[in-house]
Amino acid sequence: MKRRKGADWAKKSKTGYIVMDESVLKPERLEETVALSKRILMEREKEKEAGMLEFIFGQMRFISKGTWAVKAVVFLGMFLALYGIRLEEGKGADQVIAVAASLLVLTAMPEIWKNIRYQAMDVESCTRFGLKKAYLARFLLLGMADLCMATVFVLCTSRWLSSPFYQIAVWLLVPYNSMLIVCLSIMVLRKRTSESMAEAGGALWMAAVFWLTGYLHIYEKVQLFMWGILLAFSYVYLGFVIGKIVKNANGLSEVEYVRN
Amino acid sequence: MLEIDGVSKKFGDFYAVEHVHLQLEKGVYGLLGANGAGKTTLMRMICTLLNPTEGEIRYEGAPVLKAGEGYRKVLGYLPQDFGYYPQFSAEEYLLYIAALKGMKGNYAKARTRELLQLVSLEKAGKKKVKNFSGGMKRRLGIAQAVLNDPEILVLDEPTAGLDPKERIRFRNLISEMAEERIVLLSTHIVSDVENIANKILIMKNGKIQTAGGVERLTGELEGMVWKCLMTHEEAAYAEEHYTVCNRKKEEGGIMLTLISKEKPAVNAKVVMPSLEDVYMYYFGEEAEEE
Repeated sequence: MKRRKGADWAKKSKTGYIVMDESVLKPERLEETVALSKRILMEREKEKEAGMLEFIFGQMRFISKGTWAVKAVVFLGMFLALYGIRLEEGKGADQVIAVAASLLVLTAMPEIWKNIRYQAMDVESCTRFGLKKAYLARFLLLGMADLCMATVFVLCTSRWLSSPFYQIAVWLLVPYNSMLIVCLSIMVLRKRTSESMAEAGGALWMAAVFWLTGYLHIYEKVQLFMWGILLAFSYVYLGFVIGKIVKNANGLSEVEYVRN
Repeated sequence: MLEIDGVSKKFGDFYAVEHVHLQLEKGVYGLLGANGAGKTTLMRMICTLLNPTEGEIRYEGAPVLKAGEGYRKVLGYLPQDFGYYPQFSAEEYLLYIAALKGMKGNYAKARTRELLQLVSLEKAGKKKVKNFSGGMKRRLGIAQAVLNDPEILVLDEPTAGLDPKERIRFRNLISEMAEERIVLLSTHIVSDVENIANKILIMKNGKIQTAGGVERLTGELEGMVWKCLMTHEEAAYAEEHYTVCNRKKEEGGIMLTLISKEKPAVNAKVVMPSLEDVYMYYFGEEAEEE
């Protein structure tokens, strides 16, 4: 077949682009070309793999909107309550912070435990990143969100209440860490009822913290330095227990299968 | 090649899978067995969800448990009970699994659209999974299993809950995909594997009883499948003493298709065995219990 000369069907426009004569364009060939280009592009994209950081931050959009909303409401409620308390010379601020910090942990538990509740571990375990990394990403994202909001909160309230920064930090971190310890220690037991047990244990602990701060005034009885040491220990334990949950992640599938 | 080398799984004193040796190359393998035969346990070991008590599973020569991420990257799995997050839409669910499979954003979105279309869920992509029918959930499960274009596709009872039309479409889909990968699908529905499986593995009491193509398996029963017209009394006697594959009321009595090494009645005629007859030969008692 004789090839068409370029000048027959295409000419340069004023801007320098080549303009094709529409009468020689065949729609079916155009569609074929588009489909082929798409396929080549897909093949290239397929070769690319997401890195660990991309995976972790990508998980943000899969954490339920309800969990983020509850966190925002708890922080907002804490701000409003403390704003009101400021007018009454700061009385009861430690109790409000204790309850809010406990609620932050308690409301995040269903999100952490959702794989087991919905029996989604099997599919997740068979993926490239797997259940372990999914857990790790979730812990990291929820923890980071709390840390960011807590920093803003501590800075604001230490100004409002004219209290030292580290005192507010202790009021927030002691109930937060102790609640995490209670909930995660129950969860690591890998019982089918772990989630409800952790939530019940957490609710009891919240009541205990409320009582200890409000009526026993434990923050006044123990020196801040001691709280610092206790918090350091709590971080070590939390690292251990989170590590254990992540390590056991694949085993969860086997435990559930044997139970069924 | 996927090698299953002397694999056993013991729960207490009970062997769910016992000394299974298999070598799977590209193609469709139908794992046929009654409930409790050990199909799911074997599949879960292939998917690294269970550790074998004995033996080893290797892919391209490397033990799958040690290969970890490298092996899971080429794996697609649809479990029997497919768990999903009810608050997710079908599209969100596939994107979530794509993220876990390490797929990049743009490719994941394009692949999600492509697969939703392939399993006829494109119009329900934005619908929450909790509102899906059983068949729709199953189709979504199949889509998530093939998202990463896996080299090994393990499907546990994939056609459960699908209507006949969906079942045929599923079979065609698997046939199409099987050219470039190992597909292992378990079922106790004979017609699911009869048309698409290159090799059928019959599993009973945790062991592979026999394996081969349809012709080889049916060949084992040649001269043992009989068709005979009987009276009610004769039929009742035959049902007690032989494995009866089919019973049909006809004019002049009951037409039975049964398996017997000897001629069961004077008027009995040998017929060509089908895969269903093979299934009944191995699982006659279990099938009756089910």
